[in-house]
Amino acid sequence: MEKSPLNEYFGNIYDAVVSTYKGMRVTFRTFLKVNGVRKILGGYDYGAGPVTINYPEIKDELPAISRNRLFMHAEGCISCNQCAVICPVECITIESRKKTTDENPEERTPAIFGNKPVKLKLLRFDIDEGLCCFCGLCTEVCPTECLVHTTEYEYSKFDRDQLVYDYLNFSDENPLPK
Amino acid sequence: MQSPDVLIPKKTYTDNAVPKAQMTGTPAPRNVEEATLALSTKISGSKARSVSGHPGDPYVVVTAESLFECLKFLRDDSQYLCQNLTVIAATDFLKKDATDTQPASEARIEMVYILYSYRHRFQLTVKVILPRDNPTIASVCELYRAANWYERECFDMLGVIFDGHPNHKRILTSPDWVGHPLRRDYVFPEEYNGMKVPL
Amino acid sequence: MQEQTENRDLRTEELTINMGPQHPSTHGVLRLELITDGEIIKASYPDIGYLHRCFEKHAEARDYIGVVPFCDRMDYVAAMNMEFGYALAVEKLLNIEVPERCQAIRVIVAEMQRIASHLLAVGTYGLDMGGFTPFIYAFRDREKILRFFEELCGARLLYNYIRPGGVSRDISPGLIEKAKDFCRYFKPQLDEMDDLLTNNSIFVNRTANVGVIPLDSAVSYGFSGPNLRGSGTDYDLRKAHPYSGYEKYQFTVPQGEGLKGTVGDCWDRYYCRILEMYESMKIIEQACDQIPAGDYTGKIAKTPKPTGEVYIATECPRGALGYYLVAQGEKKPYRLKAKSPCFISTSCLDEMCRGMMLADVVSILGSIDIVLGEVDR
Repeated sequence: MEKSPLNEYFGNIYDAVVSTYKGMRVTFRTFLKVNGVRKILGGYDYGAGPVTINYPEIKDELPAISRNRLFMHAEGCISCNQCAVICPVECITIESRKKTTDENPEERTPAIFGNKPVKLKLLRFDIDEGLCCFCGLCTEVCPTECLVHTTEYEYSKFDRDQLVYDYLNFSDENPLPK
Repeated sequence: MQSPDVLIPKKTYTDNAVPKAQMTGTPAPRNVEEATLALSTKISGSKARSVSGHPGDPYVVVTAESLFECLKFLRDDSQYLCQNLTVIAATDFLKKDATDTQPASEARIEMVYILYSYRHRFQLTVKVILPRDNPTIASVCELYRAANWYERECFDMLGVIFDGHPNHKRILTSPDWVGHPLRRDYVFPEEYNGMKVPL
Repeated sequence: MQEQTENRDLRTEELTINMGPQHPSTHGVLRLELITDGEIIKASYPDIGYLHRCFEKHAEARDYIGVVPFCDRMDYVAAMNMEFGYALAVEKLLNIEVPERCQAIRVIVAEMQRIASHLLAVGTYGLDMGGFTPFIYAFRDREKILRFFEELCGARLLYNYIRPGGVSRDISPGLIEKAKDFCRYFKPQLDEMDDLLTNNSIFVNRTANVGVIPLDSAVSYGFSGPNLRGSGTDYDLRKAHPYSGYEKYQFTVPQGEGLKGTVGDCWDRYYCRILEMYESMKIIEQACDQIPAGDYTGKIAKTPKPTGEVYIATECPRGALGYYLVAQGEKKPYRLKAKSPCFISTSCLDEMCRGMMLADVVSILGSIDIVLGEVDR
């Protein structure tokens, strides 16, 4: 249907005003909703109130299975090398050797780590957290579950070399998660 | 192998007419044996043979010289109507040395053209086997507009040269890169433009 | 200072403008060389490769389970769908049937990811057109989905969840309730997003009749997904070749009809995405209601060693992502080629931009919804 130019002119103005009004109405309703004046339909709590969290004063609780920085409990490691083998980016370095005669051959891991026999002596266990891709494959294959993901995500350093974590010897200069 | 960076004036696409897209209708899918039979009878010189029996998709192998005619037939024939060129992939088969544990097979480059028909709802894989030394094949840019960038990528990654390609340049690596990364005997460079590669 | 009085003709050469790799509207590191005549584009040459990490070479050096984190990182916005196709390809070669519960979990997760990805597409498209509000609302809703994923598998963006053989963790009944709650919460929010953008006269004027791709060209270019459906067809891989139990769910496939301009313009592609979000919610609700009890993973060896070659494509938010896998019985893939739909969408920019104005390039880039991680792999 051909519109005359006058019709089209006023039609455009009407379209513009109506669509802008609709958009502004959405924004105004959200403003009321966020400030608690109007509850969401259905009374559901998901989203009522401001959604901005004032980080870093207030921090959100991450779920327990969240995959952030790794941590290895050195007393639970049996040097099986499974984590180093399966890591897709090869960020775990493990060195171990056979036990000498004066080291306890009947040593076992603590009970929370499955009480498994420890046949090798672990010399070095480094994880380069800068290379780690947080896939979680190493924690799945660890037989004693001594390698776990913590929820620690605030560990920035100024130099890439400082991101290599030595899980056998940690001290005050290289503190590990609380 | 040093790659030829040929600068041919860029062709505009308004020259080529695209066939009318046929998307609806009762589908009548064809399988690989029927396609092999049709190709070997209708296109002389294609020497089409089908390979099946392995897990996954069976495929048709044709000669490099007849590839353009075969794809044109598969695109335009009313029983096939493979109007969609899904992907052009290339694989380098090479047993590097004695420590390479891959099963021994002839050293070759296989070009894989996966076609799909919207009208008849079936997928067809066409393969061409090229020698590793000077892999050259005709470009199918005139048949399918999708082939343009796929062929550039095959050239960039594996060094296959396409005759008649309007813009035969590298696409993913930088224009002064040496070597073809997806070849099995590719050696990663230590330096690039005087900069040492980190790590 | 003498006033220049001679009558100089205005120079009318073509100008080459570089819309460089660092640009807020190119959705990543994409470089466009635009040859313009004044304001009209005569030709545009996309230059990609700034995010090329050679995923295909990495896949040849890892075993089959270790490739999955690399698959995630191609299209980092829709990571679950990236893993889905790869898992299906390996399972086809090994001839493994996954249990029905696993199929239902995969469908729920893939559709939630589709909503998240379309929210990002629509939100950033609104941002490119000048409105900050749809961006904020889209990301607020996307945050809910990312938190759901964090409780499901531990990661927000790059999941490593859908593996060949199954999924890595089971979904608890509390999470299924949460998925249904999300759909109930999201429906009015999607209506609001619709109000904000779809019929807004500024948005319509900037996107209707811009970047038209007729269906014949779209098929020849190899488009798929919402880009193809915006040109007037209802072809969808979930309906044409159903995988992982999609045939059990009722949903329609939206197509572009040219409601505000020509069929195949930017507005049609955008509206297809909005309608697809409604359909995804329907699928999630049906899958959550119908999910059977059972195992969450099938039987697969720790280091699988398949043989053969296969090409499988799944419907991802940006198109049909396909994996061509050549396996030779070793523990690493011999060749894994990822066919990325965004690669094809970027190649078509030249044809779509001819004759358009410079500001329309931003509109076209937003409507084809590319993610450079997938273009470059």
